[in-house]
Amino acid sequence: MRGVGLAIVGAGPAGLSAAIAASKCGLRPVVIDENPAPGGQIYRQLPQEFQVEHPETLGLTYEKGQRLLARAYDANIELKLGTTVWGLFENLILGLESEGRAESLQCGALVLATGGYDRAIPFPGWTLPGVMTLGGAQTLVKSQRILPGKKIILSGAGPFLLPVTSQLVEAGANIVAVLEASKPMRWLSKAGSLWGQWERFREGWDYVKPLLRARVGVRFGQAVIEAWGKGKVEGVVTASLDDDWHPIAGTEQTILADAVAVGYGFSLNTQLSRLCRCEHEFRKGYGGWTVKVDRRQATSVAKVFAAGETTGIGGSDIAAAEGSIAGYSAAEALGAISEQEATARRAPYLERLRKLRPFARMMADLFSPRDGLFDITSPETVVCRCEEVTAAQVHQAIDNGANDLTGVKSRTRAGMGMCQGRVCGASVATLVARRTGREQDEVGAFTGRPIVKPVSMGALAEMGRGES
Amino acid sequence: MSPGSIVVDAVVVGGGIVGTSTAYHLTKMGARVALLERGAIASGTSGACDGQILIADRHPGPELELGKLAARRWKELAEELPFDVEYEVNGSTLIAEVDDDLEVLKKLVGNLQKESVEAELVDGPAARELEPKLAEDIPGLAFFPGHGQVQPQLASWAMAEAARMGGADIRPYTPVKRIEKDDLGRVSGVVAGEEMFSTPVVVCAAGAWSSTIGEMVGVEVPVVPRRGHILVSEPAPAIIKHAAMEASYTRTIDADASALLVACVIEHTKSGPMLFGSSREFIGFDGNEQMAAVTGIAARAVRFFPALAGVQIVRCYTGFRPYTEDHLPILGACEAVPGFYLNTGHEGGGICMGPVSGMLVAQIVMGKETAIPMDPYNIARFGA
Repeated sequence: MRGVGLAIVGAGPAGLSAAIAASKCGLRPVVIDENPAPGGQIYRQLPQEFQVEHPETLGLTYEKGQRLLARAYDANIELKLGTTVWGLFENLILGLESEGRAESLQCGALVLATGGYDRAIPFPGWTLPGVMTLGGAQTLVKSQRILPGKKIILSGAGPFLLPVTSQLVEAGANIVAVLEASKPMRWLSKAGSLWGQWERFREGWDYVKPLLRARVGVRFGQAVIEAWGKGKVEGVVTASLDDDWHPIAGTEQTILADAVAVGYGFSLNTQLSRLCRCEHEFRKGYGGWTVKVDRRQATSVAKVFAAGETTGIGGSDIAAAEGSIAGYSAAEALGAISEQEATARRAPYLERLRKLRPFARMMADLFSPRDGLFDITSPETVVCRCEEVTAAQVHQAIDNGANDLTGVKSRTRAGMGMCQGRVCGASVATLVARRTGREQDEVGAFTGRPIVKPVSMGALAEMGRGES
Repeated sequence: MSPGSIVVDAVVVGGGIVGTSTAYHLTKMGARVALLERGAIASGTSGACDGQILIADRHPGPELELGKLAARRWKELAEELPFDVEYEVNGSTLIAEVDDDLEVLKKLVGNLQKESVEAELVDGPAARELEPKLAEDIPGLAFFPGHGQVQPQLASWAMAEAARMGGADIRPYTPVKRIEKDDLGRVSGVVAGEEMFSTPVVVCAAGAWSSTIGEMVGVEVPVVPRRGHILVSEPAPAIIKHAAMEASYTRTIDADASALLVACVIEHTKSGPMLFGSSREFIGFDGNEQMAAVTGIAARAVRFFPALAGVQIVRCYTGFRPYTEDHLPILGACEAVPGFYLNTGHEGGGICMGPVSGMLVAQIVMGKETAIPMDPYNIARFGA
């Protein structure tokens, strides 16, 4: 089995920053990512066939991404791209798969920078072809230059809605409507936290500019509550939301569309951190279950560090700063630098985090889905798409005595399918919490097990034959 | 009886297939029953196993008798239970890897036929007719048409629901704190969660965790956990036509070695995914999945059915089989503590035998005649 000093899972802002930091300490970290190119979702790159003609028009986020990638390519890093981590076993042994071949990799220290993915709240019709998450729409347009449809509706809450809309507009999409569940009146009450966040304004302006140019308006305090169509989405029903985000009866409107992108905050990739038994903490508005870390980005498990969104949604700048800290801490744990040096190297990033965090707190508070919105999940709505389990079936399981996610899974098969509960975990937890009158953190999460991502029997078998 | 206690005729400890079946059969016979389970229904071994109903892997004698009775009881239960538990009788195979295995299978088939178990030896081209995707060098197999399968979690839930419909008090998330005895040393009550259950009968159906329950009444229950791994696939195309095991599988059951033993067991569930086993190890209650077991199981399965190489695995889990030294379950009364009954120690056969052992133990508790003599299964054989 191959052994390395430091392995980093995830090549987004957090993972790359950790790798750059560790390489400055004399290590040669291995960075693993399932995507064919580094950058993560936020700095997802165009395939090489595409040429960027006017990079100066692409704004601050693009600039930052290019700078980070350039530094990563300069650093002494081994990039293992197109590589899936399917398991994490005792003694920090990773199970990897790439192009149909599986291998194991043992590491002395591990940085988990696995990020998150946007969360959809199930509503009638959400499984129709043409309905996707904001992240799905973004991936289409960013990496394939494909528009999701001819008449596109976006519905969601929070800072992700704007960049996706703006990227679609830049790619020439016809946006029929953009619905933001929150209301600007509430934003004003939080405006104090914006003081000093000038970079945030610049980024925000980058996103608003194309919308103004294309005259795309945003409807506040509204949401898509239903999608309909024969075989694929043909239109949606929208409604206005009250202060607790309950759809208000009588405000329904029908809009024709052939593509709908939805997203209400994020869920986090905590499969690997669960596998190595890291402590997790439920943080509403930060993606739900987050990996618990200290000021050094150390998890509760020795030699395991976590950085970026998986420790709580905060955006790419926070992720990058946390990544740098995690890189230095991992180098310290491996004895590459002294405690004193590690402390000194971490200091500027800790200071940066201190400045950045109030903004993330405000975002979490403003855009965390409020309770009323979960009313859009009707009893007949499929909650677990892989196993086609409806909300009514989940309720039935709860009434039969299932009180947590383990129980609901065993009774209904929710979470047993291809995605292993990544998509439905938060929705099922919400259903259980609401039905039993508890908070989401009291109903638990699906148990973390290998296999984290699908891997073929053939690849596993080849490894097994090699070992015996 | 303490004030405010819940009065029942029997408390069943354990909400897996064995406990839910015991509660169901006791309820059916007219007893007021409370079932206490520390987690969700089927959250222990019944949620971490496969669902095969096998007879052929049992030694003639009490083990085989129980197996035959179990297969019959399952057929009835599939009709009795309140919802579908994915029960089907589709037969299963024991596959020879080399010619020597075929000789062993030949003997086994002969023995089982004498015991009037449906069994046939199939070799050469006929084997490939029965299982077209079998590896080319496989000399043959034994086929057991009477073997079936169920979905173990659904089966446990259905059994619990049937008991509840009959009036049983089903209490998941209710760990047992202690068992009380009266002045004469008889079972008198159970303290669980925040409540006291007043009962003259406790049935321990706690599987691999039974020794902890035994300790509460001063009985040493010789059941130890034996860890097994199972891999789960995506919904898969029909590569096997019948559940399959390699011939050496029964050797890994009998082996008492503490080292990791891997033998091929494959099941295609009614809902689509395939399950791949099996591994056996003594390692206490360490549930951490092992890479060597995962890759070893895959290697064995692909060795017998090369077409499985393209199937995607989406999950794996470990479970703790309740192992006894002589591979027989422990069923019935415990003479040392009047009122304390056992229904445990089924190792890998709980899903198959749980329903019938629940019926038999319920019959013993209720003072009814049992379908087979129960002495061979009593804990007295261990000197307790």
